[in-house]
Amino acid sequence: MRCRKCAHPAVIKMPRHNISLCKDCLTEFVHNQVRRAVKTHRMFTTDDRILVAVSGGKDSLTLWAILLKLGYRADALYVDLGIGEYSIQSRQKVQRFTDTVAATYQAKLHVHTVEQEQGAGIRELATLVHRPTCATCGTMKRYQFNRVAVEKDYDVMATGHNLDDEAARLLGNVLHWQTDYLDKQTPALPASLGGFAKKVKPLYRLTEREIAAYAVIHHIDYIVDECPMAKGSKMLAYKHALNRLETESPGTKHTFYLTFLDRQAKQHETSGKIAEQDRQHLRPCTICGQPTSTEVCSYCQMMAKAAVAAQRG
Amino acid sequence: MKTVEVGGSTVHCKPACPGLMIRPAMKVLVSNPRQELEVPGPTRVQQLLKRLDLTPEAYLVIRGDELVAEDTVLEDTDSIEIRSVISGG
Ligand code: SF4
Ligand SMILES: [Zn+2]
Ligand SMILES: [Zn+2]
Repeated sequence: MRCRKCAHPAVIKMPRHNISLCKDCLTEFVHNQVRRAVKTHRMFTTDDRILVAVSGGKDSLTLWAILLKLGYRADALYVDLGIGEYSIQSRQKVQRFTDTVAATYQAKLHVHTVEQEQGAGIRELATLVHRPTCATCGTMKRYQFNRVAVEKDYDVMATGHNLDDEAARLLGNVLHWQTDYLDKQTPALPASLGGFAKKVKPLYRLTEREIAAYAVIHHIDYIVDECPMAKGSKMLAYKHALNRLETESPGTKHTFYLTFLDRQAKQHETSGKIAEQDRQHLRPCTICGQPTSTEVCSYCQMMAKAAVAAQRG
Repeated sequence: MKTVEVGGSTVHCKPACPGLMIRPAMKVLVSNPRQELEVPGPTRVQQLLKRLDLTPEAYLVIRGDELVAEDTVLEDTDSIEIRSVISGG
């Protein structure tokens, strides 16, 4: 098989675009998709300081690598959840990437260790507050990323969500008709209020397979094993279903998510609308000052509950 | 080690098993869930995935540390990783 663009040996076939590409042309393809995402949603410019949320997995490390390569000013934050061997290994991968790649661009890594700062790992916290681990983890990560972004004065926060993530989430939201979630499912959420960082997803045009291929080609050493808590998650089930459909009819995921975005954009100026809604509903948390729609934000409620439960012992 | 021709392809005989031909097979490591398999070659990447009932959209095939395309022929001497690209969060 030859590359469709330059006739060098192909390394990947991409049925959704009906092409096969060699290493260099795949690299160019991936960079172009990211450029296009950044431009379409006016995510950031080369003047902005970007904070990338890294987990040690393929998406976030690849995102960090691409942003640096394309000339953006990107630092990263890793949240150490204290999930046994998984956290130890993923942290090592992030550290190694920082030392070998990011350091050559003078990019910096911030680390937040949950066990150290909050006094218990994420699984113990989840038990204390009687919530599923992943829900507790989600609240923790969102809170810490936003806190670091605002405290350290980053202009925008970037996450490694890809086309598969977004299509699976859209499927989940549609299956349950979660219409208020649908409104917020965009690749760029504006900074609606002082205290809320702008959030972007520059990989939303790329599939997991394309991103993993980029990582392999560029020797990005990421953690292949999954977080053990992900087992049996709904998202995985949606992804498998979508990949079956994708195999039968290439382009399904792309059409599903990108058509949704087109319609959303036509329906309303989403960014304006969300910013407006947020401004009406949000106020500073009485404990920590981060924006929230309730008096005390969900993170502070969670931590208060954990503290009480820990005291009762 | 003695080699013989079988059906047009060269097969290695282990000297330790006189008369018994043991065909070497390629070592295949599958991630998530982790599994180690031995699959006799030669076989094309797409056939290997089909044989193991794996959706092509969810995996990459890596030989040594090089990504290989669907029509690549894999040999017995190859060391192959079939890497899941799906993450759960
Ligand atoms: S699987 Fe759950 S616990 Fe693990 S990182 Fe993802 S959200 Fe957190
Ligand atoms: Zn090419
Ligand atoms: Zn708070």
